[in-house]
Amino acid sequence: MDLSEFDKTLNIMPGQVHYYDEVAKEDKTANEIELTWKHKYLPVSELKYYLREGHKAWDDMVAAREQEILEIWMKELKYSSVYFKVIDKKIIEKGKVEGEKQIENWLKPNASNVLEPTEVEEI
Amino acid sequence: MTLPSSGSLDYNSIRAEFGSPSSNVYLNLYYRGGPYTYPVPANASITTSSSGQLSVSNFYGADGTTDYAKMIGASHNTGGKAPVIYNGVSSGGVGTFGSMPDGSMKVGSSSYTISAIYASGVANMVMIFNSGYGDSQFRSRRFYFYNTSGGLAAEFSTGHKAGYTGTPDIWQSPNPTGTYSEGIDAGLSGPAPFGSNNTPGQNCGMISGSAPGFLNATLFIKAF
Repeated sequence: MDLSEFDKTLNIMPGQVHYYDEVAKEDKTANEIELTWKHKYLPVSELKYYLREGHKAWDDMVAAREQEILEIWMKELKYSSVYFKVIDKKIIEKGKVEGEKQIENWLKPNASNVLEPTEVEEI
Repeated sequence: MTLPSSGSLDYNSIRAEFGSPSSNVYLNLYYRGGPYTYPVPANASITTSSSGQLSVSNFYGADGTTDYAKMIGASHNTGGKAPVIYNGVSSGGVGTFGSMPDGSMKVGSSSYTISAIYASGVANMVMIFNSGYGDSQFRSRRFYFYNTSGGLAAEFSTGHKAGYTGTPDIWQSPNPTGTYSEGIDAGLSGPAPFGSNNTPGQNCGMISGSAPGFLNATLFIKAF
């Protein structure tokens, strides 16, 4: 199941937050951002995350929270995490063979079209 | 340090630095050793219990998880006629064992992602980063490994010849694929052979703790 059709909105929270800027080596203030994930049509919870604007790990931390949210939604949709996982915003059955390519790779993991044969060098 | 060490500090600043899934600021979300606050010295003022008392002042100078990696080490026996026992984390190569729940970390002032760290004996530790070839931040760099209680489980130093480019490039540490090898580093930074131009400096190796045993544990890695 595809979970990718959601809206992600950013809202600036009232008031400024304090942090230590390691580059400038001084205390600074910044906006705090509220991020909201809301799915367009699936009956799942609206979930949030709070982080400082310009946080040096912004991308990593937001991506980690988004993955966490997709996994929460997966459970809300009654998919068991024992048998299913979320990859690329899709609920995937663990271990399921999706295409011929996986079978080929399983039968011949180092096929010549995957791993180029190397010439034997003279010692 | 990601939060001010003095002056104004409020609940929202703590939430904005460590990240939070809730509009309510629950300080007990940030107890030391929990998912948002690693047990590293910068967070020593923060209680380790989720039911313990926390106050805003405990968070002066505290660090989020951004600059530290978290590894869950395991022991792995390759089996066969000549078995080798590895400790640490690996997702291929020498085997699949352990895990790296948080691989993003700072090495000096550079940011990297570490995907594996393992050793099978003394002086052969391997760390695999996403890059790092030629980055001087790896030179004579101390790596601190903290256990879940916040104690220093081990300390490792790279050598003074790490983080260079050179020929052949695969004999540099880290190499172009981001693999730091203690064995190669030791060869580059070790005692200079008689008559060589290799200048003396910091050799690589364990400063404290003993490899590879300490890698069979949950550890938090600091390298800045």
